[in-house]
Amino acid sequence: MAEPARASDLLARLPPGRHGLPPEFVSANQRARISAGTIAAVGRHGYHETTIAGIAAAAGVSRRTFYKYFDSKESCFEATLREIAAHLDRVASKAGRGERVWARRVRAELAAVLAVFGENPNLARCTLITPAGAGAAINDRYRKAVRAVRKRITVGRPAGTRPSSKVAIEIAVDGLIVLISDAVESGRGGELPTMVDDFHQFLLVTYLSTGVAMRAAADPEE
Amino acid sequence: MDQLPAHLASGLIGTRPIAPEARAAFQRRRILDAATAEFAAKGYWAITVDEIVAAAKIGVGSFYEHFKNKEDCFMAAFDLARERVSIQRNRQSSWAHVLAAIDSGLWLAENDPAAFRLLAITAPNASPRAQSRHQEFFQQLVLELRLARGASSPLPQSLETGLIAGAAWAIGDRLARGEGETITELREKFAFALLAPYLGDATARALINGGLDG
Repeated sequence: MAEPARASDLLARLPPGRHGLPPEFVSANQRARISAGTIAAVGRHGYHETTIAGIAAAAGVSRRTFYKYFDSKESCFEATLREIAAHLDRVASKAGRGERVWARRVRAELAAVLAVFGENPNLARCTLITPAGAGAAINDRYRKAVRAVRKRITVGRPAGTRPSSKVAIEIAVDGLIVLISDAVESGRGGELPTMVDDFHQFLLVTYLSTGVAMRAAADPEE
Repeated sequence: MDQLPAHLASGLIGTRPIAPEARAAFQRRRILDAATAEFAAKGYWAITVDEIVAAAKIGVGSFYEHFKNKEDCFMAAFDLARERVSIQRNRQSSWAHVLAAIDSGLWLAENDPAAFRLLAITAPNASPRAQSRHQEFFQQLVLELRLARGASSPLPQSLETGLIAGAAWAIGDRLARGEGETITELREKFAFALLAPYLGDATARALINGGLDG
């Protein structure tokens, strides 16, 4: 695909008529605007209150253009969720890359993801809160993403710690999601970066139980 | 002395109609059971009064004799499910009481998965009024754990909220996957995951296996 001059061009309004822009750019631009419009509309109004017309309006595209890419609100939201999940995955990987110690790596990944949610409340709502009430296909997509998070956390767990049950990691990750959702829902999303330590400790304590976790959180080098 | 049961006593058989209150109570319960199943399966927003009426096999008029609207019906179904999770209401909480509450939650999940899903998954995504009723119930559970924990603990602030919500979702997820019948088999794992952060491994295990007085 022809590289756009700036990333923000992906969300720019296209000129009317014969504009001579490459079709790859046009479709990337339209797809990007539909994703952004979906996050804005669903984040503000909730999934059930959002219509395709509402997404199209927020995206600045026609309904016809919307239907060029998606056949339903559901498939559009699902695709948007997949994009968000892929992005968060990259952000977390990048943040944790330099950290050798497991507890410290998990903390860096958590901090990076909380920063994204803190700065983008609509995205946070779409990712964490909307899926539970939005039908089976979306729920499946959501659960898949949650499984990937569990796996990410278990990777590299230090040897010698008590092997945690599957149930413990489920409770830890699902609980963490609710803690983040609560902050976003109550309008404290902007404070998420200050909650990193508390949430990190929650994760470790739930996953590893008290003694090991408190030591790991206090002095990850140990 | 025991009184002779009515059906063994001589009397007029089949002449008196069933008391209208009794019929009404049966009908109300029937609507609530159907509504619980429908709400839990499809979510609050996807269900209409007509669907509840069809599932309960009653007339629309009967529905409105009992409930003002869908939300009113949902609140009643929520309260019915909530009564089935035992919570200690006295202030002297202890770990044995916490364990009893965990057990009653797991029991409900296995024996009436729709009621559990309604409490844990459907309600927090339902109408604002239902959400605040759920919050109130949730906070009661959080308080129960906080009291048991004590004030001067170095554990993270978020622990109770995260543990209870995490357990509710983890169970709800299993129910959604159709693994409800294995939930009480996992009793030990759930109870351990919830109690070990507070009590440490050994004490938690002893309590769960009944070897400790709460």
